[in-house]
Amino acid sequence: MHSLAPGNSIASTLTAAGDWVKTRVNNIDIFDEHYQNEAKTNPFYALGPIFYLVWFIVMATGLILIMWYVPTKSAAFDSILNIQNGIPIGGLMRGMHKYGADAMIIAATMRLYRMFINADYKPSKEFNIAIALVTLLLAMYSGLSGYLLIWNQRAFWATKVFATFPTYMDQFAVMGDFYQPLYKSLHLGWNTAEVLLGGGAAITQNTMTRFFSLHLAFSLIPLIFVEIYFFKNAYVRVPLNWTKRSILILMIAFVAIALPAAQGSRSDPDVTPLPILSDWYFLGLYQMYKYLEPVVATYITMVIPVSVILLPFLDTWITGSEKDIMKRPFILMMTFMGAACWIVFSYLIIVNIADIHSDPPYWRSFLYGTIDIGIAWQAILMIRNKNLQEKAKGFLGAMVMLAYCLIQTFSAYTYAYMAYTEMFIDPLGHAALYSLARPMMSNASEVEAVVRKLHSTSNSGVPLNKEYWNYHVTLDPGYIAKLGEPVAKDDLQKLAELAKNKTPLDLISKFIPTFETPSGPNGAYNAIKFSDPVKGPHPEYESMTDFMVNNRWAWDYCTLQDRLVPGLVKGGYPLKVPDNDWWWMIGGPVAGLLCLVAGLQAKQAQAKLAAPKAAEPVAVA
Amino acid sequence: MTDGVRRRVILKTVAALPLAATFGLLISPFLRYLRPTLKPLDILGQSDQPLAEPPIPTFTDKDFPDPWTCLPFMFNQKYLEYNPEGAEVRKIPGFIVKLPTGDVVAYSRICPHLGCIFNFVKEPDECAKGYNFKPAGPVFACPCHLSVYDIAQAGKVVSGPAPRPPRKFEVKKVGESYQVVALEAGSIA
Repeated sequence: MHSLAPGNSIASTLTAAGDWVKTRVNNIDIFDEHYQNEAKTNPFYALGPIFYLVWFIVMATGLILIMWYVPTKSAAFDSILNIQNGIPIGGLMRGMHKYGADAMIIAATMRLYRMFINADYKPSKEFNIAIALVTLLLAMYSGLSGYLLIWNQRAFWATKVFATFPTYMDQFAVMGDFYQPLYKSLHLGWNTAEVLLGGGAAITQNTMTRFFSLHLAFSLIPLIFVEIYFFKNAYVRVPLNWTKRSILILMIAFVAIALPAAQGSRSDPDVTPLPILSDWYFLGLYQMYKYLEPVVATYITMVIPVSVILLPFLDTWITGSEKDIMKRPFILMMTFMGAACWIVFSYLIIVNIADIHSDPPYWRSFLYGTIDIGIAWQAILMIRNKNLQEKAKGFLGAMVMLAYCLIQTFSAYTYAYMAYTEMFIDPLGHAALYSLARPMMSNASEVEAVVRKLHSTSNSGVPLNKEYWNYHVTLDPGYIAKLGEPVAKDDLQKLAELAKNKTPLDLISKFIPTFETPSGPNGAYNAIKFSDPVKGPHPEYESMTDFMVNNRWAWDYCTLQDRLVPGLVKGGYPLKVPDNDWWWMIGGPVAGLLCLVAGLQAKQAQAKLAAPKAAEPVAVA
Repeated sequence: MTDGVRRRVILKTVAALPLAATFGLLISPFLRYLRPTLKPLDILGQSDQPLAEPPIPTFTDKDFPDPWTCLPFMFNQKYLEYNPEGAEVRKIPGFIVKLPTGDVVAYSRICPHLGCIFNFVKEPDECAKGYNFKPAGPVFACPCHLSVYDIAQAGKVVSGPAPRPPRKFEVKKVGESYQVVALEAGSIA
């Protein structure tokens, strides 16, 4: 029996995808249980077992601490004081719990770096990076939920910051701002914050109860799965002898005695102390939040883990099965960049020497520049490789790196305009999209003249009518009867006429909802009887021109154009791009060029290898 | 691979879809458990503007002997909430400042960046030392991420990552006294 070709290909795609996932699931390695022989000689391969062992110590000491800890707002701080100073060996237990948690984070981080440097995710073990990262993130979240339980100032304000930053998710530019109302109505960030805080908008008893439960759940639920996994596969849990185990336990106990865990001062919701820091593993992020626009900082916070999960796949595409770190400079420089940024940012915040105004060009150049060096180095290795077989395999890798360089080049191009005009993602994106649609709008320059007249871009004086874009509403007879004629009515009427002009793009603008109703935003127009009381004054965009004016994209374009002309707009526009930014702005295209050369050579090598085979049938004929 | 196995793969996948959907739907009530006060989705409806709740913070001219006198206060705000009481009262910390022009202005102390409570810093040198920026006059400055707001320029962000000025309160002059009666229109602190 023959099945049809499409069914065939669907089935085989499904099976291939299933096999791809199955292989990687079978290769899962949670605590280095597949490296138990290496662990005997190489301590870096004992990091997984060390993590597991310390996890047990932390859980055991935690269970002992629960006996005396009181998870309420009024009693928590005193109960910790009591554990630390009143209960015999309470201080030791608390110290071992705290420093054990720190040791887990150190072990998980070092293990992640080991996996990248030794390419432990090759072959077909890419999921292990994700698992190691989840281990680290769970340890970090346990730390965060744990230190709120002390209810001191540091914990209180770190939790405040941690629970507030997701609210900036509601401001992500998703599908442009015509869909923002729809996206915003989901309140994704706000709901995340409220889930974290315990169903409210402030840090309350609910927050504490929730963090206490999460603090336990982050350990207990993974423990069940890990134990089932180890039991089912009959793996040895901690392949370290008792001498090594004792050394570890004693190390933690020694630190707990030598450096008693800090208590801080009781939390006060009305006073944020200066300076205020988070726990050490969040310091790098904390410094980043000082440097960046909050929306961008939130975005990067989410991009970091995703890029860590993607990196092993990128590396496999670029270098295939190569495991030698010196032949994988892309990953070498990437890991170096990550570690250096984290350490330097943490150092800057501890020593308090960062200058949030002049630093960013330096670290931008360092961050992108290091990756560019890695890519250029990788491309040069490919170009200098004399082996034709290996060279032919490099095409995909060169293209992957080229794609990265193109993204970076585009960012640099956008960034240059941001620096010249001080316009950020939203207005700049609007201006760019407007400039793409502009050639199709036959009366664009007339529209811009009216828009400029009504709302000057020159940064001086009071605009004639800043609400010009609302002309559908303000020119409606119902509106005029209730609230009088708008300022500069003639110009508005001219604008309304111009906006009716048909463009080839009107089909698109017809499908974009205006989100305007007869009752207006929050019922502001309830008292007005519009000429069309059912649909309202602006049920749909009349044309692409109408869309561009009504959403103020035309004005964004005018602002961009005017700020690029020297001396036209007050404030010294166009501004200069900081000198130190040019390193990374040029680094991207240069590295990309090398990737292009490597890619072309790979294609040539492929052609050379394929040539003799292609010649065969001719010889037979 | 034989046809039988191929068919099995497809049938298994097809059978898995309703199961996955069922388990997906089971997650939905769990999300409600995490955040039970979810309002019914209302995209274009009325906003739930918070209202002032007594006691109203009240000050007199005697409270401001010099220009740049800055006093902290607590403002009670009643929110409409989808809970049994139908409302929730929250305390908003604020600063009331007398400007050299003689005007009295009041700001919410909640930092618009990430919700810490900012301070009043009178001396520019002190601000330069602690907040990485030397302003022209007294400012509000947040210890968390060093946002600095110039009071003379209506709370304009002059340094740091804050996206906007802090929320302003409406100050009403009743006889001799200044009353902080509401937040500025259209805002929640």
